[in-house]
Amino acid sequence: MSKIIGIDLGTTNSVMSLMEGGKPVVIPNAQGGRLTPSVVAMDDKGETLVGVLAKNQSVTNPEGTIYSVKRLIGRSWDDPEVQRDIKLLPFEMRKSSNGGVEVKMSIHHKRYLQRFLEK
Amino acid sequence: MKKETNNKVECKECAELRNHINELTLNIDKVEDEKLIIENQLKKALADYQNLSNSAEKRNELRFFQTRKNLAESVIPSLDSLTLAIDASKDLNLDENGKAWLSGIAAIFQSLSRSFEDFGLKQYVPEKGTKFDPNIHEAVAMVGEGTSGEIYGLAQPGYILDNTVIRPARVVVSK
Repeated sequence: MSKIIGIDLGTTNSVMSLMEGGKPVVIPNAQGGRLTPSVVAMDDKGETLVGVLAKNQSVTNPEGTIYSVKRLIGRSWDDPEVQRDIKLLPFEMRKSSNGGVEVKMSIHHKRYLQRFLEK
Repeated sequence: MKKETNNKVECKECAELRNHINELTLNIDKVEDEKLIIENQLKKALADYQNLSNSAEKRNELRFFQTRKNLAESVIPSLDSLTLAIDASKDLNLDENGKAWLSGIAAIFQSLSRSFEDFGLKQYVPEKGTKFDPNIHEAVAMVGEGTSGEIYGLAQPGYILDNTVIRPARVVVSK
C-alpha cells in the first residue's frame, strides 16, 4: 500500500514523517537520527552525499557542499538577501536565465552545474 | 383419466421439488458467496494483523534503539570531558597521592567504558594516516601537512551504537 510522507524542509535540518494508525511517526535517517541536516554535497568521484555524510565532509569540500539553500529558494538574483548571502556562502552561485539563482558545485578538476533553485 | 390426474399430481410434486431444488441452489450460492466474502475478510484481517505485528516489532526495536541513543548522546559529552581531564593531567606535576588518585579516576573511567560497551556503545579512535571517510569521520579542520585526504589528528573519538555511528570521530584532515 502506498504511503504519503510529509517533509519539513528546514534551513538547517529536515524531518520526514508519515501517518501510522492515525498518528504522525518521524522516519529516522540511516544514522538513527530524527533530524537530517539539510546539506547536499558531491564528492571527488561525482557521487552525491546527503544529510549527515554531506555535513561530515563539508570542511574538506566547502565549494562542493550546499547548505542553507532554503534561504535562496524562490528569490530573484537581485534580491538584497541573495546578494548578502553570496558574500557569506562558500559555494558558487550565479544568475539563472529566468533571473533566479543557480548553484554551481565545484569539485576538484570537474565542475558540475546543478540547478536547484527556480525563481 | 385417473392416470392423467396422477401425472398432473406427480408433475405438481415435481414442480414443487424443482422449486425447492432451485431455492436450495440459490441458498448454496448465497452461502458460498458469503463464505468467499468471510474468507477474504479473514485473509485481509490476518494480513493486517501480520503487518501490524511486524510494524509494532519494528517500532519497538526503533524505540529501544532511540532510547539508548538518547541516553548515549547525553553521556558522551561527559565521557569526552573525562578523557580530556585525564589527558590534561599528564602535564601536571602530581605527587604520589595525586598519581594514586588519578589512577583511581582512570580505573573508574575504564569501568564506565566497559559498562557502556556491554550496553552496546563502543568508542573508536581513527589512526593517523587513515583515509578520511565521511561515514565514520567528521572533518573539523584541515592542515597543510601530511598526505591529502588522510587523517592528520584526532579532536574527539567516535561512538558506535549497535553498528550505527551515533557520533562520528571528529578529525583534522590533511589538505
